[in-house]
Amino acid sequence: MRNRRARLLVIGLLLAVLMVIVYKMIYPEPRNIAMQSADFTLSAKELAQEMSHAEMAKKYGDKVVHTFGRISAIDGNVITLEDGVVVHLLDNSGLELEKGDSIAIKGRCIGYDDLLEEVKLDQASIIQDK
Amino acid sequence: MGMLCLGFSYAQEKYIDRKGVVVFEASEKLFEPVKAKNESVSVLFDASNNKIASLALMRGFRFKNPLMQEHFNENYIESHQYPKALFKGEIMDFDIAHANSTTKQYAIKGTLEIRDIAKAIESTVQIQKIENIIAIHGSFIVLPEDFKIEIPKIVKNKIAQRVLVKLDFKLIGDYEE
Repeated sequence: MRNRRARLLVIGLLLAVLMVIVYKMIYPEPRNIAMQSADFTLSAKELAQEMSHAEMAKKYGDKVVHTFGRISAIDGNVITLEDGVVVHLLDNSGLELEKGDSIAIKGRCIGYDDLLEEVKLDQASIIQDK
Repeated sequence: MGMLCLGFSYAQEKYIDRKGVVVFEASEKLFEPVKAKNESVSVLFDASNNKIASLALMRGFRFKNPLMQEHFNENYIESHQYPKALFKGEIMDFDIAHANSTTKQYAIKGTLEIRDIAKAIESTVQIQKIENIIAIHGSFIVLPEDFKIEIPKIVKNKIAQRVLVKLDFKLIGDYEE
């Protein structure tokens, strides 16, 4: 009787673990860009220059990019670096940023916007103490 | 910059949004919602000729389920090859001089280009103007087959055949330049 109960308990536990694994496979955690290491590191000017060539979308698309430069515009959580890289910050509360400041950020490159001629990064965070 | 080639004549008549919101939904009842949101859509409007252009990067569409997002990019849109959706059109009978905080409805006509395939779009949008901000709301329907997007049989009943696209833009008048 006792043996059987123990066995049921083990099977139940195994099933629970299996269900968690399957669930994680079907619903993986969203990427946390801030925790990932950068695939590329280059200045905002270089990034804008590189991305203006259409074939570069493949190289940088969906990749984590570490870039830096002078702030040319600020609009809420959207910061433009060197007039050519638009960065959508996840959170900029508690930061005092001003036009002209030099900053470094890490974000996901989502591509080149040829309407406004800008590179776009989202899910970005500021890298302190560059 | 790029605005020049679109024929923008007067700086003060040009309105820009860099964080336009586009949501698309192709959910079927009883199944996991098929829904994605892009909050970094670019929109450019020229009040002198009512021409509007909007660009959404496909990688900017975010799904709740990362696997769904991967399938959207890799299998359906093929974002590495076709990274953007571009709408170019005109807001019919809009007059910036008479636009105000009262929301009015306008017809919009243009073409939507996805995966190098252009499709004519006609819809209505709601527009209001407060100070130097023009707010545009609207929605339209697209069909995956219009852009040669094949939905595999195995998931066909989980994805709606008509995709609802909703847009929410706040364009700011560029008075500085």
